[in-house]
Amino acid sequence: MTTRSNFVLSGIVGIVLAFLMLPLVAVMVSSFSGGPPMAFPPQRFTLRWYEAISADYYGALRTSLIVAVGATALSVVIGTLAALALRRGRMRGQRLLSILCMSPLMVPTLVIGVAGFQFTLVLWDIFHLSIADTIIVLTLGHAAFCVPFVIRSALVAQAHYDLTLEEAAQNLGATPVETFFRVTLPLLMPGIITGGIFAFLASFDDVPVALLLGGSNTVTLPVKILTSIEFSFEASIMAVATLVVIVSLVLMLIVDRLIGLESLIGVGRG
Amino acid sequence: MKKLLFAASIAIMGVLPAPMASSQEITLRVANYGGAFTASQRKYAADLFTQRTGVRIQFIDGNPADHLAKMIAARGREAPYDVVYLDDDVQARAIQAGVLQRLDPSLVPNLAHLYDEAKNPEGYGPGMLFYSVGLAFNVERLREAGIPEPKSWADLWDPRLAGRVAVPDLSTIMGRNFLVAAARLNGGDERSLERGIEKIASLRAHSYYTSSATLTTQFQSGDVWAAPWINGRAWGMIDRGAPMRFVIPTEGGFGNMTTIDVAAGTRHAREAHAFINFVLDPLPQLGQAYEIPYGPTNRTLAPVLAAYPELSKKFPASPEDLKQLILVDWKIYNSNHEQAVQLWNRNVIRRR
Amino acid sequence: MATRESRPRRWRHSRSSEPDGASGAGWTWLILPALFVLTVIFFLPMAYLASFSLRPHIGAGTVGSGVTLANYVRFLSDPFYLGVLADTLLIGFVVVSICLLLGYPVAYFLARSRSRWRGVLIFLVVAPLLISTVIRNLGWLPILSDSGLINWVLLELGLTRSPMRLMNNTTGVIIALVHTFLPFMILALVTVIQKIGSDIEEAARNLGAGPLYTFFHVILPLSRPGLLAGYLVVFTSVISAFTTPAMMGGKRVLIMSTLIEQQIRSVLNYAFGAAAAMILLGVAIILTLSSLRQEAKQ
Repeated sequence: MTTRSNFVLSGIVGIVLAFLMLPLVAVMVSSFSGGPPMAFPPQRFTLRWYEAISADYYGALRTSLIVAVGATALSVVIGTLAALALRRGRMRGQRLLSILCMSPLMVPTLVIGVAGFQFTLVLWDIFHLSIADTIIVLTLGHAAFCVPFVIRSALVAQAHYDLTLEEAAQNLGATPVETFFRVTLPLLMPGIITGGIFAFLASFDDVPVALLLGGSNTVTLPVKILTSIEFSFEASIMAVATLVVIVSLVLMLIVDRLIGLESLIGVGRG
Repeated sequence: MKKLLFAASIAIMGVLPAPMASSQEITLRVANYGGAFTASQRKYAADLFTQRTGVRIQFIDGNPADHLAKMIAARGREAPYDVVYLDDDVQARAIQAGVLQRLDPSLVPNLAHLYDEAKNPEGYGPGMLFYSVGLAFNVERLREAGIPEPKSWADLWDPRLAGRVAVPDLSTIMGRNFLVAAARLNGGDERSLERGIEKIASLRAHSYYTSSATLTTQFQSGDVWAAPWINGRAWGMIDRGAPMRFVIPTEGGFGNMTTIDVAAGTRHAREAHAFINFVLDPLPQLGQAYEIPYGPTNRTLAPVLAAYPELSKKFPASPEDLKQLILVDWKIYNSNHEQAVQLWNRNVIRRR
Repeated sequence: MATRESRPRRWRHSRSSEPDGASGAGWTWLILPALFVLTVIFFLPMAYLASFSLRPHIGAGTVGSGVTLANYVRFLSDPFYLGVLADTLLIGFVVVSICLLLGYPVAYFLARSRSRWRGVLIFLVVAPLLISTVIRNLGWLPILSDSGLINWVLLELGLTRSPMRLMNNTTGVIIALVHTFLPFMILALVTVIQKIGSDIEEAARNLGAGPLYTFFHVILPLSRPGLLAGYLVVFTSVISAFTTPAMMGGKRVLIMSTLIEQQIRSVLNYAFGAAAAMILLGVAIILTLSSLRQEAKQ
């Protein structure tokens, strides 16, 4: 490629990357600004927004983490089992089962939320069971779209899997159970972890399901921030956001060191 | 002035009944408006209530219309709130939907101290403050742009203000009041809300705000120069030094009440009643009026207010003041409300 | 490597050359937990959603009994609602096209680059994805608002006399959606471009083709199914998005997702909201199936 087109290409790449970083930088800069959060340029460096973060945000963070961990754990367990079954099982209608298990990925999260909410109404009508606005129902609601993430990643991991390794292990005297735990599972682990990370991020980021299935007792962090923007806009929102950005970046760096971000390539949800 | 108010409050406090025996960890879920109002209620009502009784208050912010929707959606199951602050028109809808409880007067002795206009004739929650809806605007920005200060609702349609007026959404009381104002400008009233929609659709608005918190930010940043607003919030900004003014338009401002109610199906009815009673106490009422200038509904404060005209001029201090304002017939309005929302969606906001 | 003959005879013959226990009917049972959970938390609720959409709306927060198509008829026969659907698709089209235009150069760079900055660049592209959508959109406030960065620059430079409306409208929604989905598009394109070996490109260059010519006449035709698949996938995600349009549209931008939310949470017309949700779902499924077909073609 010629130097000139190289230069143009680099320029475009630079601009696009700046665009991608822009809101994140804006959040961080805004959190230190003494003036109104929507204004530029920022005035008067101050840390007072960080001190003013109300305890409600920490409660919301706690809720988000509990739900995300729960949904991820559940998804990893049943998702891995399902992926193993789909890859190795010999049954009729295998393709249909595969499509069924991945079908939530085709459904907009908002629709999953609406369906879940209306289902809680049905459960009330039939069983007088009031499960809305509980951590359990929110975790299950998230699991609906987390499970397919794990199944998909685990299936992809198995596609690259060399079964002769298992054969070799059994040649050396391992029983099928030993082979599973000491050969199969460890080799699949990166794929499972990738799926787990996707699931965790999707759950933590979710707004529609938390909005529809949650209530005053189950306020997740994104929902809390959204409500605050509308009804009590203080600049401490930017401080909260900056903290989230920093923590996310740190976690990302850790993940990158451990398994490399390139292995997380894939298309997710909006 | 502050010292005298404080002294008066202490004196009044001496007349208050003895504190309740404290209860175990009960938390009341209270639906409120959010922003500065929740903050002032927390300061003057909730925190003091918790100190005296040990009952915690958890405020959930949102528009009363949204809170009502939540209560209706939860009908039959566990009530999402124990106590709700509602606009008086939303209260009418809530009563009709059956999501509120009548009050037990023996648990709310302060009811006897309220103006008659603040009491609910059917025995539901009372009004806890009076307020007016009028015009708020940024004097500085208007002066810089050479635009005369608006004096009437009609002035908002001044082409020089195009893109600088924030219109309240129908989910807010200001929005519903403004819709009636627009209908009147167009030769109608609360019976012909479609005229109001037509009129508002012809206004080139900056944006449609759904909460006072949003509008506060927009005024602060100078994005918005004028808006229909509520006296308390506007005066709140003025008192904190913002270059703004609040006026009652020549066609007439609107008078309203904020009511406080017990939600149907709450498991803490006694504590809910006690909290409502506390909100109506003179000290919380006076503190609220001082923090954000809304008119107390507790009659016993009338002499205090009469002694401080600089304070009481900012709000409807008595039912007589209220009668100077337009009082919308909410029953008529509510029967046309859903249709108005549909028309709003189609004609007002569906534009790029 | 062990061959069939050398395997000790105590192992059963299986049809494939896989080791014992690596496959078989036993594994099939492992799918049951997932199937059970998914049935309870997904399939049943979706079935009820479909049924809600066929019930009459008899009052706020309630659905009546009986089957009716009234909700669908109401949606499909009203130009207002059809307009909402059209707006949704239009916004999707605009957003994904912009993503394609902006994303392709970056994807090309990342796919072909051998520089040591590649890792860092990939990190920068992926980083926004891992930060919560709400936070990302929050960052647009100081940039797009009337007193924000862009308007400050425009006013200082004298390019406009009054601030441009970039937020609480469709423009803001489009900008934020592009930001949200650009990394997805870039990553999808990187895969597509990598599949086309650089040797083909080199061959074209050796024959005298410039980079733009190479793109239009070599890369584009070869990668069309993959490009189309990527386009459709991102398009589906854009029309399904809720958080970003809700935050950036300021109650003014009515698209399918915000309409559905409004019906379910404010208007409390559950039947109509369910019908709108089913319509959105139908569109999403059609698009996803199309993209899968394109992917299979590659």
